[in-house]
Amino acid sequence: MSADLSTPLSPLPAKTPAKGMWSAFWHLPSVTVARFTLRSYARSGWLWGEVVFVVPFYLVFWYYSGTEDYFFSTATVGLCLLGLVGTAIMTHRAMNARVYLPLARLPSRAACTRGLVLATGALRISLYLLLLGLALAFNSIIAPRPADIVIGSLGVVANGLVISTLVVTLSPPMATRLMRIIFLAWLVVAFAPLPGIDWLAALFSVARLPLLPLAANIGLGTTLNPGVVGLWPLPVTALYIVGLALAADAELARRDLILH
Amino acid sequence: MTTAGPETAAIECVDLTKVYHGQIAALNDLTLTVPRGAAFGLLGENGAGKSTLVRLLMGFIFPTSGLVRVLGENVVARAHPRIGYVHERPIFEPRFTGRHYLRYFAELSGFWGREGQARVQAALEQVGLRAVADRQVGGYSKGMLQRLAIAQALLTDPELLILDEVTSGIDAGSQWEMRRMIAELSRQGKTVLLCSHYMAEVEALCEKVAILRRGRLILSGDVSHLLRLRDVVEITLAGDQQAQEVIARLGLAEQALEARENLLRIPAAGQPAVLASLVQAGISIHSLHPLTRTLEELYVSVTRADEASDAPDEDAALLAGASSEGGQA
Repeated sequence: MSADLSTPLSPLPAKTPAKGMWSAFWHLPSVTVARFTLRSYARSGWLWGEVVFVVPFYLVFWYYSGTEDYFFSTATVGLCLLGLVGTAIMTHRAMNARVYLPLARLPSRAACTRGLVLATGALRISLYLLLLGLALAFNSIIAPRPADIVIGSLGVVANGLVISTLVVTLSPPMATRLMRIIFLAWLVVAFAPLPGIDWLAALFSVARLPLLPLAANIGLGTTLNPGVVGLWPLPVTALYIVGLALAADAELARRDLILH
Repeated sequence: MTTAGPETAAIECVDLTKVYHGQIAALNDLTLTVPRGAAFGLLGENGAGKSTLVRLLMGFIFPTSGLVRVLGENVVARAHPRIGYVHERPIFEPRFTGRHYLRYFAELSGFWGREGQARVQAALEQVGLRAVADRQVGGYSKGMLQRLAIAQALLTDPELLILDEVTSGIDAGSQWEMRRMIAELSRQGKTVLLCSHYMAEVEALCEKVAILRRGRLILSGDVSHLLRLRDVVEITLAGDQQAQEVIARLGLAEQALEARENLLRIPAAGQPAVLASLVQAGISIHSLHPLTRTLEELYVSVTRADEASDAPDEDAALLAGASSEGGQA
């Protein structure tokens, strides 16, 4: 064991300058956290679990060929389900006492939440591309048209990203138990059949409004050829993702972090 | 009182209080200053509030009331790039290599490419982990994990090191190595805040110390000063001379604090007069030394005094002395 501390490291300000936009982006704290989170997720085996899930999912639903709308509607369900479970596991793994050391280097906690959102987002997109690749490679989609595939895929990915970002935002330590209960209560109201009482039915209808863009995203893949106006849910969904990520930042920033 | 102005203070806490869940007061009105460049020991039993204080200093939790300022920053997270932090237990993922971890932390601090590699290499060499840098962390011993933790704290050449029980649970050799590292870092002029359960470690490494108990600061000050607060000199008479008889013969009874067998204890202030009398009477002395106590003795004494509602006179005097002469209680 030899520890030589006689020569201190050079002073702090000598940081590596970014040599280009890509390098600057690649080394942003949130992107660095995202890369590390994905590596950690891969080394733990969970990432491969998600990849493996895609294959039987494909085999079960597209062993026999189906139409484009069948593919997009089932892919949405599969990707959202995976986004729900996978992101919950990823967030749980990332937000334990190990996060103290990265946090101790950063002037803001936002890099941690944004890194998580980026990591799970990148994984959702990759998994969808794997699923789509399998479907196209084995001719599981009857008469696929490139424009429809692109538009339908945008809808599926958009919903997958909303779900995964939502899971990050609602996970501890970002959200409290009360917040999760309120969210679940809203979900129950939004999905419940409309009651017979007029004012209550109106209230339930209002509760459903935030789900409209997500439903429209599914529509992108099933109705196809929506036209430019029909693409309205995509920017709204993008706003959802940004809003949820910012909410996660804000919640984590004010939380006492007592992690184990 | 440890005196240091805001410009010279690395850490400043004023009336700092932290209450968990609205009822458990982990810290209560803590006022504490750690001067820049000092090696400061933080002592206290389990549940005394040390970890809470460290979390507050690192900005992991927020004060219920009061002020905490680190390296001049009220929003302590802004000081993070200038702080090296070592958590109370190694918290690394076992499947990464030591080098990989350090590169990650270097990148988060804005050092990548050649600069990042150079810093990682230098940090590995500093803590003696170069040979095992490409091994997975899961195969590291506890001592190696702690040295990796120190290495990540050193990556940015920080002004302030916050070391939370870095020598807990590691073997004696690694403890020695760790203490040597801390001493060297302190010599380099870095401010070191060392939380520890090991009194001898704090006594050896730190020039200032604070003792917390149940969320309150019960004593702080210069270690050397606190340890000689008794201001007592012990004289051992040569041969089989009886101290009782000598002080009676020379009329020194009023000056003596204690006399038994050939041992005589007197206040340091009375040393010249007593010595003069002994020399004049031709009484030989075997030894003479100021009576100090170890930090452990001080700790036990102060915490017991605090525990008891009626503190013993000696400790009350000690607390008062600390308050007026470079310590605060």
